[in-house]
Amino acid sequence: MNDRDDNRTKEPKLAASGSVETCPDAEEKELLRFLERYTVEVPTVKETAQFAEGLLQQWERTAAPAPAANMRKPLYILRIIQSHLKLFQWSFWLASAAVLVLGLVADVASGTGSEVEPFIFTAPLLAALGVCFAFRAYGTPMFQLEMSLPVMPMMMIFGRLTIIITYNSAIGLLLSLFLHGADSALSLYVFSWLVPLGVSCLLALIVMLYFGLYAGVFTSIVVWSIQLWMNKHLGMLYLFSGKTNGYWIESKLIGVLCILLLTALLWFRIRRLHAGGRMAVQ
Amino acid sequence: MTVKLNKVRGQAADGNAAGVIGPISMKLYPGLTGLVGANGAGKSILIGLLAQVWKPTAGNIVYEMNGLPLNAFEVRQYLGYVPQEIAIYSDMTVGAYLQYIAGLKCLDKWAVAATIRKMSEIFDIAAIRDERLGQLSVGQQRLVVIAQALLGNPAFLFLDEPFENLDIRQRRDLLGMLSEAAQHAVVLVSSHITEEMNREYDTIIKLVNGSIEEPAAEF
Repeated sequence: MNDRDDNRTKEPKLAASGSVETCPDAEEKELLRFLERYTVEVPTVKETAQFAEGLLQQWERTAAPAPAANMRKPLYILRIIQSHLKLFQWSFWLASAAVLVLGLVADVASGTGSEVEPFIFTAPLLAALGVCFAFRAYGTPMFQLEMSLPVMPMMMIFGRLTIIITYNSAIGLLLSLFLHGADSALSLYVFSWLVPLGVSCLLALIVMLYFGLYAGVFTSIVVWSIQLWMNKHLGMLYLFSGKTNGYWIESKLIGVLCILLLTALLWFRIRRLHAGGRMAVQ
Repeated sequence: MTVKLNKVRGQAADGNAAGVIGPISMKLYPGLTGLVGANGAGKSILIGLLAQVWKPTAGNIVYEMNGLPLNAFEVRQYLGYVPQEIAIYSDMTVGAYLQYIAGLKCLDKWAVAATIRKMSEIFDIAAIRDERLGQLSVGQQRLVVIAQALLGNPAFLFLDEPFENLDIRQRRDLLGMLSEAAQHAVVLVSSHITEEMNREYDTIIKLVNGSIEEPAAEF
């Protein structure tokens, strides 16, 4: 290290002086006499080949492929999702399940015929807040760091969204089975909460990507509150309606359209986030 | 392995790193390169551009390994980045945080264990493995963020003010560690503690108003 540095510090000095100092004749002769003793014979072809082979081995050792390059795509996606699961502690999963169970209990207690079915309201709000929690690093240096990692933003965002929606849907489905059994009413009931769940999650995510984390949380709660307090007065826009509502089919169709629209908007936003390079870090 | 910047211009969009930089043309080689400059000179933007957090507004950055250019995704697989600000999930434990980053880099638990072993030269990271990041001191948090960058022995290592919040012994040990890593990686370290930029550095780049005052030395 020191020798290398010494050489480096000497080089500019020589260059700065404008000319390279030469040795006196006597010194030069002496130097040449010394150097002659160190003359090396021209390497043979075999020696050159051995040297090249050694270099190649060294090159192969250092040119180890990146870990992701060795993985099959499904395994890679599984690894990414597995990694994202670390963002949530067991307490998060437990609390989510507990709130959903409470929603079910309230649903049973409120009886049939009510315009507001508690479980249909519980699952979407919980999922939307779960999405906001999953992206709690958005707009922080942690998100910057995540953007430098070998995961495309599309995979990162849809991966986390999938985790939240899958978990809430699975718990919701189990509880719906418990409530209605495996009869025809089950599919209608599941559709009743699944559509608002999708709308809420996507809306929270898109608002967050455009305006920041708190805007996402706030919008989710505002939309949820409007649906709760105005319920049947919203007519076809009562997306959180139960199957007893007169506009049930219309409202769910509007909900599905909203999901498609929001998915397209999300796709566009993530593509811009990636292609534009500049993140919308708040 | 090299990193070549061709007339790169850049601008951060987060409002933290002020200003615009460029055009910058230089080539980074394996070794420890220091990046100095006054506040607002654009050090963080340059490191953000190199770490692919931001995209250049003009020009391009070419990363080469064994003479072959790498695409953007490949670069990220060989990259380690330390942002200027502490980048953590406060509610995560140190172990979970390192496993999370390692998972996204497609590295296994052995990579995490190796990094913890390596970081133990500076501080006893194993002792705080189960502690929540939010409960650690800022200096410890900084070292954990540095540890995540070292996961998988990256070929390109870009560190923005890594010595911030560290005591003098930790700074010295970290510099030694980076110098060792620089033997087989392109390591760029920004620091405002210029008096500690010693002979461990192979090259020093000075950034003034978004432009390089002293070009990187060619080896």
